[in-house]
Amino acid sequence: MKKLSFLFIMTTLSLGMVACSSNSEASSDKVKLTVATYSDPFEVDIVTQQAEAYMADNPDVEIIIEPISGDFWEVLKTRMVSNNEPDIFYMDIFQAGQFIDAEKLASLDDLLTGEDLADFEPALLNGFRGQDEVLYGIPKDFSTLALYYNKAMLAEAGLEPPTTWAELEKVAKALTKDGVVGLSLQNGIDRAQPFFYSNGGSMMKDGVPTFNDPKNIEAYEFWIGLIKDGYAQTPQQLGVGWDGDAFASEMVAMTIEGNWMVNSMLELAPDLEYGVVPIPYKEKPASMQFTVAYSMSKNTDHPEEAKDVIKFLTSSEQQQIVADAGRSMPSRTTALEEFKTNWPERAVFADLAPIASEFNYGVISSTVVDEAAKAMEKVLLDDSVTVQEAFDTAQANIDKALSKQ
Amino acid sequence: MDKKTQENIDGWIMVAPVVILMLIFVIGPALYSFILSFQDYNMLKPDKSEWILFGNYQELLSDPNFYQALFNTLKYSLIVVPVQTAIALLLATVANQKIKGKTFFRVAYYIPAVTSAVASAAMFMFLFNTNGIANKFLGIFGFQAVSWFNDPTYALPLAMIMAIWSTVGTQMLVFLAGLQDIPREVYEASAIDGASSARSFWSITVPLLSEKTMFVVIVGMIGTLQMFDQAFIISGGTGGPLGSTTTVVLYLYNKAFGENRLGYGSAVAVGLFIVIFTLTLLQQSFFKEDDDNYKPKRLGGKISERIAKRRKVNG
Repeated sequence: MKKLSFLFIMTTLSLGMVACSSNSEASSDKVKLTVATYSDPFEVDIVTQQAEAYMADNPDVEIIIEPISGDFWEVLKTRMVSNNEPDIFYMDIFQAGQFIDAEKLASLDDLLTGEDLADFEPALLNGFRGQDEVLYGIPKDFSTLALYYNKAMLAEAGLEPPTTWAELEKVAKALTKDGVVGLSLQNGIDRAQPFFYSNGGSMMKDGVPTFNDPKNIEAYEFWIGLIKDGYAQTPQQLGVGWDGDAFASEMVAMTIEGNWMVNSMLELAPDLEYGVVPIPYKEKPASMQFTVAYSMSKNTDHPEEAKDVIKFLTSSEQQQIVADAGRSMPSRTTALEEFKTNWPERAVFADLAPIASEFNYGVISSTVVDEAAKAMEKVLLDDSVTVQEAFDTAQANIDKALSKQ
Repeated sequence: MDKKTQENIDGWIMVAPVVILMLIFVIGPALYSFILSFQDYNMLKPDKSEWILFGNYQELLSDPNFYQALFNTLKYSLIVVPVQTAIALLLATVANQKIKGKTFFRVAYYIPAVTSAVASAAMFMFLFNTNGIANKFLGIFGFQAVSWFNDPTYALPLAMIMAIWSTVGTQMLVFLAGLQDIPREVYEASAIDGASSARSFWSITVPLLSEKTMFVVIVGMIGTLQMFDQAFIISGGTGGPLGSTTTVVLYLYNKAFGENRLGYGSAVAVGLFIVIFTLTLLQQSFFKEDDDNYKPKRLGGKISERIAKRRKVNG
C-alpha cells in the first residue's frame, strides 16, 4: 500500500512538470488572436483561408480560428462570464443587443474612416450601434428576403409574379390546385416581418419591442388569412423541413425566403426554373435583413491588432471572397455592385438592402422571437384565438421579460 | 502511522480522481446554482447582480409557464415510467427464455440505447413526418394523418414514444440480470406444486425482482423528470407547439441561456430538485411497504427450505 501512495505522488509530480515545461516553451513574440466562427465547415474553410492570407502579409500576428460547435451564443456568453472569450467573434444582428447592453463589446468607431463608413449600407450598420450611437460591430455579410416563384407554374396559369398583397392573394389562390399549394410560408417573425413594415407597422420603437402594433396585427391577419384559406401552407403543414424543400419538390408555386435558398436550389432542384421578385407590398415595399458582423471583445489584450484583423476581414476584397462562396452578400456598397454583376440572378436581394428591416429586437431579441412564434402558432392552431389576443399576450410577456433585464 | 490510517489514506487516494471530478463538475456547480437562485444574476452582467433572497422563488410560484412545464413533465413521467418498466420486464422475460436466436433479440432490444439521441431523433423526424411511414401505416387502419410535431395533442406523446423506445433496452438489461439471479429451483418447485406459468410469473418473478423494479422505476422517474433532449429536438428548442413540449429543464434552459437570467433559471432547478427529491422519498417508502408485503427474500428462503426438505425425503 505504501507503494501505491508513492506511485500516486510520483505520477502527480511528473504530470505537473510536463505541464510546466509545455507552458514555458510557448513564448514566441507573435501576437496571438483568436477568431471564433460558427462550426460548419463552410464558414471555417473561408475564414481559415482569409486568416492565412492575413498572416502571410502580417508575419507578427498569429490568428487562431476557433470554430464553436453547439450553441454559439450560449458558449460565447459563458466564456464571457469567465472572462475567457475570443478576441474577435461573429456577431449576429439578432444577438447584438444584449451584448452591447452588457458592455461586452469594444467600440469600433475609429476603425472606419468617413469614406469607408459611407461604403456600408446604413441600414446594415444600425443594428450594431448602441443607444450611444457607438458602433460595436462591422458587418461582414448579409442576406435579405424575397419572393421565389416557379416560372412554369405561373406561365401555365398565365399569371405575372405578384407585386401587391391583393395580387399575391389572387395568384396564390389561382395556383392552389391539383395538389399544389400557392405559397409556402414559414410561420414566424423572421418571415412575416416584411409584411408588418409593408403595412406601416414596426417591431421596435425607441429601443422597445412593439410587437402588438395595430399595423402589425392587421398585416398578420392578412398573412394568417392566406394560410387559413388554404392558399398558403407552412412547411410543417406540408410535411417538409423548410420552405426550400417545399419549393424544390414543386409542392408550392411560391415562397418567401432569403438569398441562401439560391444556393440550396442548386443542390435540391438544379433544373427547376424559378424567378425572384421583391416581396409583394401594401403601403410600401419592405424586406428584412439578416446581418452578421465581426465584433471585438472588450477584454482583448491586443485591441489594435484585432481591429486591423477586423478591418481586413470586412474589406471589399475579402467580402467578395465570402460572397462568391454563395451564401450571403457583401455589406459594402462597392463590393455589392461587383456582386450584382457577378451574380445577376441575385441582384434583386442586393437591391432590397435599403428597405430591409432588422432582425433585431434589442436586449431580449430571443424572447421576442419566441413569444412571436408562440403567438403565431396559437393563431394558426387555435381558431378561437384572435390575432389581437395572441399578440397582446405576447407583448405582455415581452414587456415582463424586458423589465427583468 | 498505524495500518488503519495508512489504509484510509490509500483508500482516499484511490477514490480521489472520482471525488475530485464530482466536486468540480457535480457538487460544486449544484451548490453554486443553489446560491445563484437567491440572486438576480444576469449572465452578461454578473457585476450588477443583487441578492434578492426569495424573489426568484416568489416569481416562480406565480409563473404560469413554470406550472405548465411542471405539468407537462409530470404527465410525461407518469406515462413513460410505468410503460417503459412494463415493456422492459416483458422483453427481459422473452429474452430470458430458451428460444432460438435469443442473443439476436437481446442485441436488437439494446441497440436503441446505444444509438445517439440526435441520430434517433433524425430517424423519428423521418418516421413521424406528416407524409411519413407512421402516418401511412396508421392510414391502413383508417386513421387520419396527423402532424405529430406540430400538433399540441401529439407532440408530447411523440416525445414519450421516443423516450420509451430509447431507454427500454437499458432497463431490460437490468431486469435480465435480475431474472438470471432467480434460482431455477424456485420455478421447479412451483411447477411441481401445479402453478401455471402466469401464476409463477406474478408470484415469483415479480416479487423477486422488486429490488430491480425499484431501481428501474426510481432511475426512470428521475430521468424523465429531467427530460430535455427529446423536447429540445422535437420543438427546436422552443417547447412548442403551444408549449406542449416545454419541460422544466427546457424552461430553465431557455430562461438561463436565452434570457440570460441565471438566477431565475437556478431557482427553477432548485424547484425541480425539490420535486424529484420528494417523489424519490415517497417511492422509496412505497417500495419498502411492498417489500414487507411480499417478503420476497423469506418467500424464496421458504421455498428453498422446502426444496431442501424434499431432497432430503427423496434422498
